[in-house]
Order: sequence, then structure tokens, then C-alpha cells
Amino acid sequence: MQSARAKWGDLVVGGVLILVAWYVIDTASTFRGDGWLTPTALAYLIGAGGVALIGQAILASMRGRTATASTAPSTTATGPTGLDLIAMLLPAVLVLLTIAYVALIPRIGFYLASLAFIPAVLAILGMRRWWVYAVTALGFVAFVHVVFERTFAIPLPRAAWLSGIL
Amino acid sequence: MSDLMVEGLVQVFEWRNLAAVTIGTLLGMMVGALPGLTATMGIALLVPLTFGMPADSGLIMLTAVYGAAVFGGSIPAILLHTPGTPAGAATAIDGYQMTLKGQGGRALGISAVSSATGGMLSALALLLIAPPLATFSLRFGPAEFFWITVFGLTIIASLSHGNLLKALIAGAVGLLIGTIGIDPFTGQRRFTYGLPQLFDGVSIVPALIGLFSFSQAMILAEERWKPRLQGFLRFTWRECIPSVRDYLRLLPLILRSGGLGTFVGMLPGAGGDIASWVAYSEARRYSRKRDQFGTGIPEGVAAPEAANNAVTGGSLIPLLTLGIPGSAAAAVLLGGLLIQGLVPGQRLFIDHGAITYAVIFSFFVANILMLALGLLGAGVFQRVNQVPVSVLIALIVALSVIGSYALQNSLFDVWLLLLFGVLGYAMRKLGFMPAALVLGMILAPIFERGLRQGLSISRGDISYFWASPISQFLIALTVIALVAPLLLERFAPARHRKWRAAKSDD
Amino acid sequence: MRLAIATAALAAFGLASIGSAAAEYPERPVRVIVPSPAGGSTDVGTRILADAIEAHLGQRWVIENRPGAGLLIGMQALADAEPDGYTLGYTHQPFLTVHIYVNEADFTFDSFEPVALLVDDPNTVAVRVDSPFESLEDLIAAMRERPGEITFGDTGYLSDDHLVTVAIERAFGVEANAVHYDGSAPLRAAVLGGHVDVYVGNVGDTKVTYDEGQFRVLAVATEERIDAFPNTPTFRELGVDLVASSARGVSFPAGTPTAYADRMAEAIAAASQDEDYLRRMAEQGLAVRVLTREEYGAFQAQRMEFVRGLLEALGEL
Repeated sequence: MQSARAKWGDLVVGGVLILVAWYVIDTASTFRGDGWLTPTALAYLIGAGGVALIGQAILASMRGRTATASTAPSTTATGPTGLDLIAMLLPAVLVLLTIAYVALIPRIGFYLASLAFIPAVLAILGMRRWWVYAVTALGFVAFVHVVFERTFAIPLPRAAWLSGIL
Repeated sequence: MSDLMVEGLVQVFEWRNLAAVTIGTLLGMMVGALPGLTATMGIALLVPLTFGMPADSGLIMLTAVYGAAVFGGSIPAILLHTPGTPAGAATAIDGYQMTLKGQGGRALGISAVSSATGGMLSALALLLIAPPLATFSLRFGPAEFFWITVFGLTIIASLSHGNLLKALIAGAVGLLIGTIGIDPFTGQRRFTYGLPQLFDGVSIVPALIGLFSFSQAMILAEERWKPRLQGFLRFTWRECIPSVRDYLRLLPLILRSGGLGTFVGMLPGAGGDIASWVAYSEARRYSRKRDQFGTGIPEGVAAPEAANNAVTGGSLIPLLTLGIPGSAAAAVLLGGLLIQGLVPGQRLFIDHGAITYAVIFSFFVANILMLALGLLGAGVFQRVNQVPVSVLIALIVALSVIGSYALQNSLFDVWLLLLFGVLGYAMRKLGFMPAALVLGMILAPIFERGLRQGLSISRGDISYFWASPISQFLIALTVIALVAPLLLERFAPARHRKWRAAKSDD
Repeated sequence: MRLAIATAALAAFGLASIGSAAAEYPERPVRVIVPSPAGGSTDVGTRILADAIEAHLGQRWVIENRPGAGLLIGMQALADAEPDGYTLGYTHQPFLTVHIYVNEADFTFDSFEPVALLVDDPNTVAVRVDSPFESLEDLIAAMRERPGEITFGDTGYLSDDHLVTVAIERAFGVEANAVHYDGSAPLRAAVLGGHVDVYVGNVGDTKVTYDEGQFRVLAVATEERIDAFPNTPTFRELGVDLVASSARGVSFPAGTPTAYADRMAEAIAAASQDEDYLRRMAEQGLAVRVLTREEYGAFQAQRMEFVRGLLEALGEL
């Protein structure tokens, strides 16, 4: 089941690669000077890679066995392999939270945004002890202030309406 | 040993210089371990602090920061698969696998001894044979740089882990991403969509943090109810100190990688990131344990760590003898030298001999200190397995965001981080190696520049690219790199082949 | 410290009236946008000045590096900043002109209120010490003989060095083969390694290699001979009116009260008399050249015209 999904994954990736290659070749044709090798030849290569990927997936399914070679290697560096959609729910929420975090930084400043973001991540990941929330968020803010602003003198984004205090 | 050398050696052991080397090493390790704060960045931001310091102490502190930051990058790379600097990315592959196998302490220890040995080897080269080496490095022109990158691309094969096609695709996409930005020869804006932030190309550091660290946070988030990291539960302090047998077994590899790193460090434009990948790939190519690379073996940590720390001394060779910095960090060190009234060049060793030798000798002290702190610290760093996974995830993401921002004070880079984080996650899920993509991105600008410069200088005559003996040597090396694995396979002992066949079945 | 700033900020909200503001300016630290990375020569120079200026300004400079796109990002950030006198930033020639005309920047020359020129690093033309070109005349003669063959290395397409190559081509009616490098270090390595014939750079970078006895400097693009290379003729002496440099000055965003700009210019001028400051800048190879506000404005306008002409010659306009 998982490898069947992975095979569909390969087909989609192959299609995307071909589209990217086509777009790059088309755009690069308007470039002045010599773009024949970078990026045009590269794009042809990527397009060929996409075709090969699709071919591999189709061949593997025609041979009637799971395309072991094309699924993720069984190394645990990739975590649970394959496309387990339920497992991807929390990572997706994490990405959404991070988007909100980055969008908030210019509006309420880096410190306030971090004080909101870190507890939110802990909450969705099921942290139950309240003091961990406080220690993590405040500890992070204090650490960043001392290291980045004090030691290295990197000014961090602050909210204009807080008159540059936070 | 000349009088100036002795004077310099004595100077190193003055208390203020020992204090400088200690502070520099501690700050450097911290800078290196944090995502976004690279060695270059750390030195740049500390240069103003040295304005008021005596020349020797200031420079000793800055060089200590350099070496320690490069080593510091390996610590989170090993424990969390989140390299702190681009130079630590290659270490993440086998280092993190060792952690998952419960050998995190051993990996940290091997990283510390390899880094210190590599660093000292390069300092020895700096001390003894800097002038001839620097003169030799000048013979590398556009054609030679071009072939180095072509050779570098052969590394992709060694990152493939059983799927060459996907590794090649990832590498090619990396190269394509690397060509985004203003064409260096025509001024043509390529795929910049009117965004000035893309004119210089996609910034490597946010992309790297995204592909390695952010994607790692996403993977860790998959299993909500797992309170602790799996794997390195039993992990004692004793384990962190490599055995003499381990060390002696790895020593030839460490020295080889260190030599390679010293040389790559001397070339302006090629730094620790490239050196560590080349060393990793070379270690694998000529190892009898070729198939175990990527599964968590000490060789996969020792080679890149020896090489990237050797870059530190190597990059000072052309800096001190010719005034030409061999890496971005060395370029920043140049500012630190000048502010103390030390103008680099052959006369530096005469006019300011004592200080210059003091700085070189302090390299040895810094590396020994780094080794001690690294081994001692390993006992503390391992406590990361006591930290709840949810806290780790929150901190990895928040540090990645601040690190990407701080590098150029740019929120755009933070959005890049997010984009590459999601890309890295998708790649890992679909069996593509993010490392191959990073390699392509790092090599593309050097590849393109070498090619264009060469074609421009030779006015289109491509024979320019194989005219010099160094070019021919690099071409031969590339061909060997492509053919050797096939030959080795063919003539490998039967027993080995059988084991391989069983292994490649999975 | 933070509390002190907070109190000051609150006081500013509550008490200060517009009229008395000029006398008290500046009331808080001034942000200075450096359009290049931390550790580069512009950054180090700014930090040296920041060290010196506090005594004369009564407030600190807080440096914010906004590198990228050949200074475009930093200059754009300056143009977009609040014109309240608390954001100062670099306006660099020729990059300012290049970005306005070639890279469709969202700012123009009028987006800035010039404050002062700080560093003026003249362009130089040099060769390796064993090169057959003993003088600029030799070089030009060789270029006439073999048009388009002599390689001129510079630090990037449309950088100040590249524009000097273009200016030489135009002034002498010759053709060079421009080869673009990624900064001064790789370029100097290429010239010393014999991969490129001619080095086009700035005095600051050239001097290190010259003092080492590895470079022969053929000409400097200044009005008069300079101390760094007393035996090197200027282009003017050679009959060509070519004066070019990497000129780094600071400006406020347009709309900043002129009284603030005057106050800042005054503090910079005072700091530029500091011996410590001048010594440190000299050690970095940075040529300090302070112009008044009016002079700096006129200087910029004149450089704009010069660079525009070169861009036209290149077909970039």
C-alpha cells in the first residue's frame, strides 16, 4: 500500500520535473548571451530525469512487483518512510504555525512572536506540564537576547508601535 | 626554529592570550552549533570587539572562533541532524545515523578528535610550507576551478543510497537553483521575478537550514506521542572518548582528509562546505566499507570533520603569505589583521614575526582546547536526549528562524527557509537526498563562473580547458572517480560481493 | 540600559514638540544601514566610524547589515525607511546609478538626502610585476595591435572596476576582453597566477599586493598623484580625463529634516578629525575623504552623468 503511494509520488514528481524543465527552457530562450548550458542544458537533463522517473515507475508496476528501488531507502534518517498521510498532519500544522510566526514578526516584533509561537508548538505536540511552556519560551527569548543582541549586536525586528521597546 | 618563532611560542602562553583562546573557542563552538550563525558571521561580528585588544590577543581569539565554529557545527548535526554551519552538513549523514544506533557519544568523540587532528595538520602546513603551497594554489585558474566542480559533482553518486536516478535528479535541480540570479557575465536577470533578494542567487544558508533542520523538525513532529528521541538512550560519558584503537584505525583517513581540506581551503572561493563533501565522497570511494556509508559508521564522521577543520589553517596560507584570503571567513579575518596594523604578505613574518607565529601556534592550542571541550562537552550535549521532543521541535524551528534572519537581517531569507524546509521534507519522504540538492546549489556558481571565465579568456577555444597539467590531472581524477567503483565491484573478493548482494536487497 | 531607552522613548512621545526637536536631535541611537555583509571593508570602516562618532553625536550608531544584490537591497531599505532622522545609510557610486538605470530599482537619485562622503577609494590599473607592460602606453599599444585579446579582470559585471575598463576602451578607442570575478581576492589570485593580464581594482585592495612587490601599478584614476603610489601617473597625466572610484557616502531618506542632516554631517566632519579614526582607516586601506553636504550632492550628480555615459556605451540603456 505504501509503496503503491510512493509509485504515484514518483509519477507526480516526474510530471512536475517535466513541467519545470519546459518552463525553464521556454523562459531561458529569451535570455541574452549564452544560456545554452546553464540553465538550458540543465533543464533538458532535468526533463529527461522526469521522463526516466515515470518510466521506472511504470516499468516497476508492469513487472507486477513493488518498486523497491524507487521507494525511499530504509534508512531511518527519513523517519517512517513512504507517504503516510495521517503522520503528515502534525508536520503540516507545524508549517502553518511557522508561517503565522514569520508573518507576525514584523508586526509584533521578534520577542512577542516567539512567546506566542513556542507555546503553540508545544500545545499541538501534546506537552502537558505548564512549567515547560514557561521555561522554554522565556529561556529562548532570554538566550536570543543575550547572544544575538548583546554579544553580536544584531538588531532584531521590533514592532514600531511598541516604540522599539520589544 | 627561528628566534621569532620562539618568541611567538612564548607569547601564546601569556595569560591574556590563553584567556583569548579559551573565550574564542567557547564562543566559536556556540556560534557553530547555532543554525545560521556561521564561522564567517561569528568572526565578522567579533572583529569590533578586538578593536581595543592587543594585536596578538585579538587575532588569537578570532582564529580560535574560526576553528571552534567549524567544529561546533558538527554537534547538532550528529545529535539532531541539524548542522549548525554549511561545513557540518556532510557530517549529518553518518553522524545522525550513529546517534540513532545509540552511538551518538562515540560520534561526538570521533568528530572532536578528527576536527582537532585536521586543524592541527593544517596549522602545521601553515607553519612549515606556507609559501610554496600558496604559490602552487595560484596556478588554479578558471579551467581548474571548472574541473574541481565537475569532480565535485561525482560526489552525487556516493550520496545515492541505492537510487542513482533520484540522486542525479536532486543534484541537477540543485544546480538549476544555483543558476538563479544575475548572470555574472551578461547581467541577465534569471528567474528573479523582480525580487532583488534573488539577484545574488538563492542564499545557501537558509536553504541548507530548511533542507536539513526544518525538515528534521517536521519529521520529529510526525509522532506526537513519543516523549523522547529513540535510539541513544544508553549513552554514557565514557563512550565519548574514542579508544586508541579506533583513533589509530581512522588516522590514515583523517590525515588524508585533512590534507585535502588544507588544499581546498587555500583556494579562494572554495571553503569548508565543499571540502567536507569531497572528503566524505573520497573516504567512501576508496573504502572497503563503501556500502556502509550512510548507515552510521565512524569513517563518515571522521572524513568530513577532519577536512572542514583543515580548511581553517589552509585558508590562512594564501592570506598570510599573499594577502589573498582562501575562504569567506579568512576574508573577514583579513579585516581583523589590518585593524591591528598587520599587513599580510611575506614581510608579515619578518616585520610582525612574533605576533604572526603566536597566532599560528595558538592554532595548536585552540585545537587541543577544542578537543578537550568537545570531549567534556559531549557528556553535556548528550543530555539533549532528556529533552522532550516537543521542546526540541519548538526550539529547532525558532532557532532556524532567527538564524536565517540574522545572517542578512532579512525576512525574505526566513521565507526561503520555510520553502526549503517543506521541499526537504517532501524530498525525504519521496526518497530524494537533500544533500545532493545542497551540493548542486553550492557547486553551481563556481562551475558557471569557471566555465564562463575560461571561455572568455580563451575567446571560445575549448582546448583551454585541458591545456594545463593540473586540468589534466583533475580530469583523470574525475574519470577514475566514475570508473573506479565499477572496477572495484568487478574485482572485489567474492565474499565481499556476496555480502553486498545481500545488503543491496533491501 | 533598555529601561533607559524606554524612558527616553516615552519622554519623546509625551514631551518633545517639533520645534525643540532639532536642538535635541538625536535623542536615541541612530540606525545605520550597511548594504554589504558584516566583516567586509565597508562594514569595518563603518564600525570604526561608529566608535569615533559617539563622542561627537551624543548617541550611538547601531549598525544593521543589509547585504545583497550589489548594494541594492541596503539602498532600497534606506529609501523605504522613515525619514525621521533615525535611519542613515550608504549611497554608493557607481552602484546607485547602475541600480537606478539598469536594475529597475524603486528609488531615484531624489529618494535620498545626501549627508556626507566618507570613503573615496580610487580605481587603479595594475599588472603582475613581471608583465611585459611597463606602462599604460605599452598596454594601450598592445591593445591596438591585438584588439579584444588582452584580458581585464574586474570584480563583477557593472562594478566600478568593470566600468573603468569600459571607460578605458572608450577613451583610447581600444577593445578589452573583460573577465568578471567574484570579488577582489579571487581576482588578485587570478592576476598573480597569470590567468588574467590586467587587474582593475581599487587602491585599498591593490596596495597590499603592491607593497608585497607583486604588482606594478600602471595608472590611478584620480585628479592628482596619490601617496600610496607616488610614482604612478594619473590618467589625466596620460591625457585622458578619467577620474573614477568606489565612492561610499551616507544619506538620509528624502524628507528627513535638513536640520538633522546638517547635525549628522557636522558630527561626521568632527569625528573625521580624530587621529585615532584616521589611523585605523588608513590601516584598513580606506581613503577617508569628507565632503560637505552640498559638495557631496554635487559630486553624486557629476558621477551619475559619468556612469550614465558608460552604461550607454555598454548598451545597457
